[in-house]
Amino acid sequence: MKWFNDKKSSDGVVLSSRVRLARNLADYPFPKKCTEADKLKICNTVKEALGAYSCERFNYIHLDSLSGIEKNALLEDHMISREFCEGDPAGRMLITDEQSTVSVMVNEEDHLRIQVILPGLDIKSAYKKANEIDEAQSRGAAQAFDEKLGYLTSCPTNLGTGMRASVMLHLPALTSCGQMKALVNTLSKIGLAVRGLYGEGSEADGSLYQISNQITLGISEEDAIEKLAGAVNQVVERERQLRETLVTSGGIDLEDSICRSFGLLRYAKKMSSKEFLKLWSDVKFGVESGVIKDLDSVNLSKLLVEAMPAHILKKYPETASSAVRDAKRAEMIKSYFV
Amino acid sequence: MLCEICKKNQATFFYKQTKNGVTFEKNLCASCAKEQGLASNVGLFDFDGIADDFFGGLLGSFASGQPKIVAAQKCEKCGMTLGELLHSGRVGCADCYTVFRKSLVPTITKIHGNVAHCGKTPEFSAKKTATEGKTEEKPTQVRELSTAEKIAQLKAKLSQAIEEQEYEMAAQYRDEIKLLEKKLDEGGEEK
Repeated sequence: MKWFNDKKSSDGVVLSSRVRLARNLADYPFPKKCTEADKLKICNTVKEALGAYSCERFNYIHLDSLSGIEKNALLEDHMISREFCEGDPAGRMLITDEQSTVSVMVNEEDHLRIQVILPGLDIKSAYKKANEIDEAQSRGAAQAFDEKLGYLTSCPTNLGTGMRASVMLHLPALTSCGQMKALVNTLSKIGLAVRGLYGEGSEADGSLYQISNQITLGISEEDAIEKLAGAVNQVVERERQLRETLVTSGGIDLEDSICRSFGLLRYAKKMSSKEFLKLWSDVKFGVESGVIKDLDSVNLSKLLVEAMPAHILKKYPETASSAVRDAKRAEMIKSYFV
Repeated sequence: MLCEICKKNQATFFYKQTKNGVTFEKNLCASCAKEQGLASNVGLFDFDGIADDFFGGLLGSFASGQPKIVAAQKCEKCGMTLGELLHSGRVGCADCYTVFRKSLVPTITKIHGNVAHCGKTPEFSAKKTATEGKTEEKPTQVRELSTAEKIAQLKAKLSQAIEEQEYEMAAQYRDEIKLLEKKLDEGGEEK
């Protein structure tokens, strides 16, 4: 089950936990310097290794067999990176497991980007799973590794463990109280980075943020995960405290603004994705703070992903123009709340 | 210090470039610097053309991408040049980390600190690497280059040995440190 289809992803401040391992095969130059023939050989080597040493069943998808919309939908799912979605698809392969928790990008910036994404705060399990796939792959083909520099990667920022663990959080209270800037500064001092919804350079629409480890060399996987989880727990705690304060001090004004957002989300006839993200954030906050009742059964994470442009386009191909799509989005959102 | 190219003349020209976090440094004599398109040959009283030569040289080197000397350094395995590395901030293959080590160390240190890997080691890859002559050299080479780090490690061991009153071990460490420091002074490793 994809992370957002699990109700667990919708039940708190943390939406999902993701671990990504960057790996390269020892026998080939990195993808940037690889020929297309080499890239295809790499795809085959990885496929054979996973087939031989993993008990999981995988889907192997050549990226050039996917349409732009399908790739964008995968990007919105957080299954692939923007680089993988927008770059030249030749010689690239996406490997997913049957539950869609694992996605291995072959020939992205590195030969392998093994990624596991799970609902809620569970970085350890995500790492465990990613590590199993790494083990299976490494039995099939030697990896580029150096005792001092660790796993050798295309970009020196990933040297060492090659592990980037990240947690997606919904932080409406910290955002509205203007505390995000200070938080970003504090976290950067301890080697953690904060980014928007879709990673590097993206804006934090919908008060959604990703916190991830920045340092990969000189720190073990376990320590990096512990450090990240510790920081995330503190951020969650602070967010909860602030939410309480906001609710008690906000009184009817806060309730009014949340309920207005809910009304718009529920009854509007046209909805852009930017407006949706803002309203979605208000409603999620409203549900979790008890202002909006009887919505506990609704999976808001699923709504979040399914209201994104490529998801709507994939489901309703007739919505190529954004005006038509905005109307379809409003209709789709409404169906969530009946 | 002698020029790093001709190794005959005194180096009077210090070139340093940092781009995308990758640093390139070279000490050259005036004529080699000019040869590489890094400096113009302007005489002390040759006012005519000073500006033209100076800026022309400067622009020329950047307009053509990188100075010759930067572009020239190349990884034989993947064909990556230092110029390209400076431009993209990405290496082309595992060997680049050995070839461009000097240029990459400041970046790596800036990002991660002056540290060594302390996480997972690939069990199967390590075995495979050890049985294959050619790939085996790679980790060894990188390790051997860090004489300064070996010294630091030995110094730590030395103080621990003294603390534990293991004087025989301590003497051994001291001698090893002396040997390595001598090697470092003699230019066994670039500083």
